[in-house]
Amino acid sequence: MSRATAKYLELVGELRLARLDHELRREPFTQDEELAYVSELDHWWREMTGEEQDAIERELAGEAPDAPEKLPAEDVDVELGSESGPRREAA
Amino acid sequence: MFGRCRRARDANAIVGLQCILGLVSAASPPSQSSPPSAPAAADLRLFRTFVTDDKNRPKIGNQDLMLGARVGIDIKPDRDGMVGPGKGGMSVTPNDPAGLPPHLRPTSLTGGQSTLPVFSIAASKLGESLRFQAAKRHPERHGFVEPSMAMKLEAYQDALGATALDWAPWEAAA
Repeated sequence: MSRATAKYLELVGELRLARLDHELRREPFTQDEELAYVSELDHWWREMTGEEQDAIERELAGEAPDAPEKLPAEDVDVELGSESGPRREAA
Repeated sequence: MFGRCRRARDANAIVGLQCILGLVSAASPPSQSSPPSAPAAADLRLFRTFVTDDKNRPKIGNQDLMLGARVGIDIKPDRDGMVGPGKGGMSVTPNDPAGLPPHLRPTSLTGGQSTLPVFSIAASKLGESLRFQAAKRHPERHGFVEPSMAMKLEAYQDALGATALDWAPWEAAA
């Protein structure tokens, strides 16, 4: 995950929390307050590649992320009672 | 293809039939996977999230989410302070507010994170000094209201501000 992607998701979380906090305190979440988050989100959005933006779109839409092209692990056979894991790092 | 045609047919029987026959392409909201549609410029609606003034209209200015271009970000004037077509401008989303970036997309739409108001304008209302230009990257969901000819930056900003009354608030369908 790129720095821009990580920062974007982090800020989305902070924006949601700030909005919820205002709601709980029954205070309006003003445009200026939201704008502060949006300006920074916009900066990181423009830093992302198209693929990174698409990944964010999927994540925020609640869709499963794409499987990585190179799987970092592969399945291996295990014997009954074995203490080794059923996967090992891919070659 | 046929899903689009079905929707078009529901709205207009002749267009729907022509669509199925491949004579026209049905206008449909863009999705992230569909190619950009190219409706007639006059029919095209452009969407943008704004901060608003005390009359709940888009706030005119050159800062984030205002009706205007951010100098150095949205548009870069030359040494003589001139701007022109093909060099960017104020960002908009064509056709469907669902194409706005998540942080500018209303929470009522899938993936949307914004509670700021969205407005829309018909491209035909931009006037002679402005034009819509689809972006090279993701043209189905991003474009610019850019100068239609070479002009001073101030004239471009004034032309954008002059559209303030033509932007209509968008609300999600019930």
